Amino acid sequence: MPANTDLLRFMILDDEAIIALDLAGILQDLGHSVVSMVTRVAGGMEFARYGGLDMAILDINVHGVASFPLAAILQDRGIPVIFASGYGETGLIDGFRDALVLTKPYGVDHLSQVVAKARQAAG
Amino acid sequence: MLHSDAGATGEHRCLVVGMGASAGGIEAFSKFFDAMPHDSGAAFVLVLHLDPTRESQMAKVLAAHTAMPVVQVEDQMQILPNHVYVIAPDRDLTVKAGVLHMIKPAEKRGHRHPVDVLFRSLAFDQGERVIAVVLSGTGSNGTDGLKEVRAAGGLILVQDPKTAKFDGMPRNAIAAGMADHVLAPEAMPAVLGQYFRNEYIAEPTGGETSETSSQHLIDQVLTVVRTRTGHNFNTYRRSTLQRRIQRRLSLYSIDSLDIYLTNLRNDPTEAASLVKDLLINVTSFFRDADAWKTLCDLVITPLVTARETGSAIRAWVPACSTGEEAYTLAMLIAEQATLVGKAFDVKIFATDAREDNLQTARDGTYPAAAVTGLDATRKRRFFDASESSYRVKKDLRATVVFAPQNLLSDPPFSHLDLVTCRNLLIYLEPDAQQGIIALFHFALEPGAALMLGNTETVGRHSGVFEPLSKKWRIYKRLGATRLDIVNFPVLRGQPARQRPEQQTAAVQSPDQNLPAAGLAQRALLERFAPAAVLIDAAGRVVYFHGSTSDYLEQPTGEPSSDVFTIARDGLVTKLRSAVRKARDEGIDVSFETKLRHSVGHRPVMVTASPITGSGKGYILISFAPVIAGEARTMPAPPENPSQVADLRDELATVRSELQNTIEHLETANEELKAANEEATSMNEELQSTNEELETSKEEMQSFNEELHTVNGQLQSNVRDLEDSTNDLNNLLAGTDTATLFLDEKFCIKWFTPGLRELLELLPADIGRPLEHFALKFRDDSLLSDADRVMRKLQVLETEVSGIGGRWHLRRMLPYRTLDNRIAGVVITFFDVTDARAARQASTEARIYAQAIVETIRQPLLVMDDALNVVSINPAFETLFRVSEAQEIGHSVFDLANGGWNLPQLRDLLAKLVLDAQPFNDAQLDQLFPGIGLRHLLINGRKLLREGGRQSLILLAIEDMTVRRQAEAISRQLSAIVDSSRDAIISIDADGIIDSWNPGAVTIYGFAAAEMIGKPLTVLQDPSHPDDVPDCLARFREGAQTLHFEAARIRADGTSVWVSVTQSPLRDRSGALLGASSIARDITDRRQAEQHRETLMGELTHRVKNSLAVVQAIASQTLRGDISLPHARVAFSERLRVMARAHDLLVASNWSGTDLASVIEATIDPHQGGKSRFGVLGPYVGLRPQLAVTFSLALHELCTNAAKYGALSVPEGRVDITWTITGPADNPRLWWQWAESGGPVVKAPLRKGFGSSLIEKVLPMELLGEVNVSYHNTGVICLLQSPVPGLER
Repeated sequence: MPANTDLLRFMILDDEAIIALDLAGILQDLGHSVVSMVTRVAGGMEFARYGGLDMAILDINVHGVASFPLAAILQDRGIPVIFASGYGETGLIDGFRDALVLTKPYGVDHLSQVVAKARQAAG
Repeated sequence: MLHSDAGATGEHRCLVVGMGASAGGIEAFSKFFDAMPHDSGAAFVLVLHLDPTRESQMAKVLAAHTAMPVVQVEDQMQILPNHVYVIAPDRDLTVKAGVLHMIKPAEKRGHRHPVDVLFRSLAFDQGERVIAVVLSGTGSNGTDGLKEVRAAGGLILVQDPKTAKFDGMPRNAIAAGMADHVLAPEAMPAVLGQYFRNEYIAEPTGGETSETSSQHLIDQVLTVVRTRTGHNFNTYRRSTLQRRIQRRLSLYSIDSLDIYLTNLRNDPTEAASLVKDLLINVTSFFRDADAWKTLCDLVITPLVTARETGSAIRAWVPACSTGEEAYTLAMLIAEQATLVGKAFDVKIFATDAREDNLQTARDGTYPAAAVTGLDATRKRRFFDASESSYRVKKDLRATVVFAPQNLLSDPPFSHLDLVTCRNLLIYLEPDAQQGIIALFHFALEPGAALMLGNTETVGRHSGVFEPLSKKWRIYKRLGATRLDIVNFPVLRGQPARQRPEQQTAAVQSPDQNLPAAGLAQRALLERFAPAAVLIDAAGRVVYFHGSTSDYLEQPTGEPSSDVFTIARDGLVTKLRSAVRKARDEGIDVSFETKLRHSVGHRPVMVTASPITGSGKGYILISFAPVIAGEARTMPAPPENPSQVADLRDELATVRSELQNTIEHLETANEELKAANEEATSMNEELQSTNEELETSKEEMQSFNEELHTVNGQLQSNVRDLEDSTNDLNNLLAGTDTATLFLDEKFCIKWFTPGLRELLELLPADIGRPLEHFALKFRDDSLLSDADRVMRKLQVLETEVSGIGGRWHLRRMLPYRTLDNRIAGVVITFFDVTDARAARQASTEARIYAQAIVETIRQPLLVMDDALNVVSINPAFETLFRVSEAQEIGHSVFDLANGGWNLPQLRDLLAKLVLDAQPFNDAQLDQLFPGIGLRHLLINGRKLLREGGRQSLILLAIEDMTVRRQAEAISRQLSAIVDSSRDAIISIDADGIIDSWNPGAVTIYGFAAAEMIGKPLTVLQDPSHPDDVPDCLARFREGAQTLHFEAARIRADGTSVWVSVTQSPLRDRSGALLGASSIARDITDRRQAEQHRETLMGELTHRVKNSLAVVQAIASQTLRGDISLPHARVAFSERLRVMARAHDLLVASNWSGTDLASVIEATIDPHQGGKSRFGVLGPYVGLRPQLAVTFSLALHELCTNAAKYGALSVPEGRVDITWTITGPADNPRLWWQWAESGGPVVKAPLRKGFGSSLIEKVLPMELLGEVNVSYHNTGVICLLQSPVPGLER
């Protein structure tokens, strides 16, 4: 865990590399760091299990593969997860109904609030 | 009158056998003559019932069975032996003096009794030689004639009914007790042959057998009869008795009286049979009608004229036999009484010795033949006719009292107005006859009449009877009652019949009975005891002992037993005083006196000794002569003079004594005279009193006799009543009918055991009011009904319900006594549960049938045999516009203006009527006037009815007109349903499928046979349970058509989506019958819709994703220190590239595109002269996202090349090449951008978004590596990655 609790280590999962890249830029602008950025669920599983991170922003449908198994690992580890999806909350399945969701496209302010909320909830 | 002694005298004629038969007679005759020898010496006269209108072939027929000549009778034909005579048709045959006579029958055809006629005449003509044979036949013909034959003493043979074809005549004869022998016809000749040889027949009739041995035997026979039966025939005429006994002998073919006597002693029934023969009496109603008419004119008419209404008329018919004579007399009196309009207390005593006769007489029932002689008025007035017999009406029967009485031994009746005794006396010995005539004289009132038989007379009593009609032997009683001539029979109650025997025994054989001691005593008494007499208190001598003739002497005149009358002179005075003294003082009184004697006076000692003890009141007077030795004997007077003086003195003394005595006597005489006068007058009085007493006594005896008679009658009635009561009790107990008798106050009078089930009654309850009892059945109106029955005298029937659901018919009727008084009610209960159930069932069945007929839509027509309308039902009336009332009785062919008059129908009906051949569904298409064309189907049946009632013809008509139209419509609809591609299904009210069209087979894959009968719910798709509404419930709530879409399960298990329209099927009343369901397969449409929805979602997602990408591009484009105008240009260029990639994707329906196409599209704006790019590589498929990313990255390469690289000069060119290498399980894409001909390039100092796209984004997307290098010839970009779509 970093000493400054305001700075969070993020994991980004999105099949759109452009979006992931952009999100990483925004998070870095906000002072956070992006420790993992993947475009495949399979590619993120290892990090999700063992990587050091504080929060994850996950696309739900990643190249046709749902990201929930990865999210479940993170949740088990007590790491807050934010889902980002064009489907919005309707894309959630049971077990994740209460998860925080960013509906694409989202603005920076919105992202900040959700991140704050996630941090609070994990509090 | 009797013929027995009248006819058969004179020359010896041949025997005549009379034979009678009717139906079945020829066969019997044939058998008889087959067995009959032709030389028997007898003649045979045959009578049959022949058809009066036809010639008889009898003679010819019988001639084949006998060698004797057989002839049909002609009038005045002489009877010859060994001949057979056959009656001629329509004639009666009689025999008179051996000559046959034919007479025209008096009776109507069918009422004739020719056999009776023949037998009667034969009996008269032949007497006891008559032989009668009765053979097969119906009815009673012959039996009456047989009675005459029997009376004449003839022989009677009767065919055994078992062998007779028709047993009526034989049975009648046997039942009347007429048959001497019952035999088969073939057995008769043997019996006859024996009989012919018998003494009884062979010997001329009427001959007296004077042999004393025979007489002695007859006496023995009579003794046996008297002992066995109590009938004494001693007074019967010997000749008659002998003939009758001879007859019995002949019947048994015995020729010795000894043997018969043995038989008689051994066979108890023989005595009765003999008595029957001896007591024969032939009688009939109004026998000798002229005699009765004379009696009526001479006696009865004057009698009823003289008598007052209400007074008694008494008559006696002794030896009444079976009562015909008594009833004849009763009828005559009743008729005459009616004529003069008076009513008398008529009492006719009819007596006979035979109880069986009396039974018949009391019953008063006679065969029809017995009353044939009576005119219709009498029959109607005096008889109740039943089927084959006539019974004397009760009121007439009540006037005749039948009682057993034997004229010869029993006391007579008295104070009679009339006695008729016909044909009895002739059987009796003259003494007996006279005794009976005297008895009648006593019995009759002075001036009353006696009627005897034609050959009988009053004999020597003609002095006391004066003939009224000499011809018919009617006499009038004369003079006063003469007790002296009556030998009054002793009162019954004492052993009357035995008394004479006892007397005789006592008188006849004293000596034989005395023992030795008695003989000794007797001898001693005679030797030593003095002569004595025993007198009673009145002075009558009751016993003489020894020779009393010296002391007693009967005076002239009537004999006397008075001792003082018969005492000799000189004894009377002293004897009287001695007797008085002895009696008064109870001591022996003796006196001595002299009795004149032929040789002088003889002294005698007389002693009167009163008897003490049991003989008190009697006095014994003994006479003992005084012996001379005792000096008491007076010597004869001396014959000397001295004695004369003595004598004179004595004389003087005696004279004075005499004088005194005379004076004394005169005084006494005077007194005696006076006393005598008194005594005489007293005597006269006493005599008259005595006479009165005698008369009273006789009256009492007669009265007593009457009482006996009445008592006998009453006892018989009581027995009858007991029998009736027993019969009634058994009947009621046997029938198990619950019967209750109530009296006028509805108290229980009697009940049967069967009632217990309905009412708990004990015998002790008799007499208690019915209302005290609880009924075991529901019947509130029992008592009120009983009251009504009593008041209205009507029969009331009600059904009441009892325990256990039983029903009883309660029948209540007034209790009528014989005198037609109402003495209560009789209630019977019949268990009618079953009958009621049956009746109910039958009523229900009738109502049911009626309702069917009335309500059935099928027109029904019922006709009789003649095809006339009997009834039509409402459906018929409606269809053919007729009314039942108008058509009934008319021919069916006139129905509906002749619309039914069809040859086809005529044929069918003819077969139906004649052969009872039913027909079904006979098709009849007929244009009925006023109704139009009708298609009819007709069923015909013949209804045969029980009890021979006329059979009925039933036509059931079905009007097919409407149905045919409906069938056509139905066929059309059916075709539509069958050809529809929609599934058209119908279900019933329970949701069960009952039709399934080919469309349904296509859609659901189930065959119709699989589905019909199953519930519609089997089609329900379990994964869509809520799709199908409960349509039946909704329809019941009133819903009309329902539309919905639902998933259904198909035969192969897959789902099919259908659009369903369901409509209710209702009957006229709106009740739900079921539903129809039309389903259309909408699977395709449904899938399209789903697809569209998916697409929409996808599109939204994609659009949002695209926007997010655009946002990222914009964000990245604007990052750094790029000027806004540059940024604007760069951003719009990037958006344009993105749009071009999207165009490609849209063209491929967003399924992705290929590498070459993406490259072509991206480089196109940078082409210039078209030859600047070289593009070469195999097909590599790109997914949409990758296509966009690749386009953007390639665009950045192109832009850089155009700004700084090969494309910035006209000679420069770019070669884009790619290849796939590596192992098949892990192929890799090698892609290269190589610029050439352009200026020298250097690596840029600052890396913008363009670089990021190429060097970061592309590897991330492709999971590969990108290497950009700057050469003198231009930029070279190398990409190496897994083949897109195949990356692991």
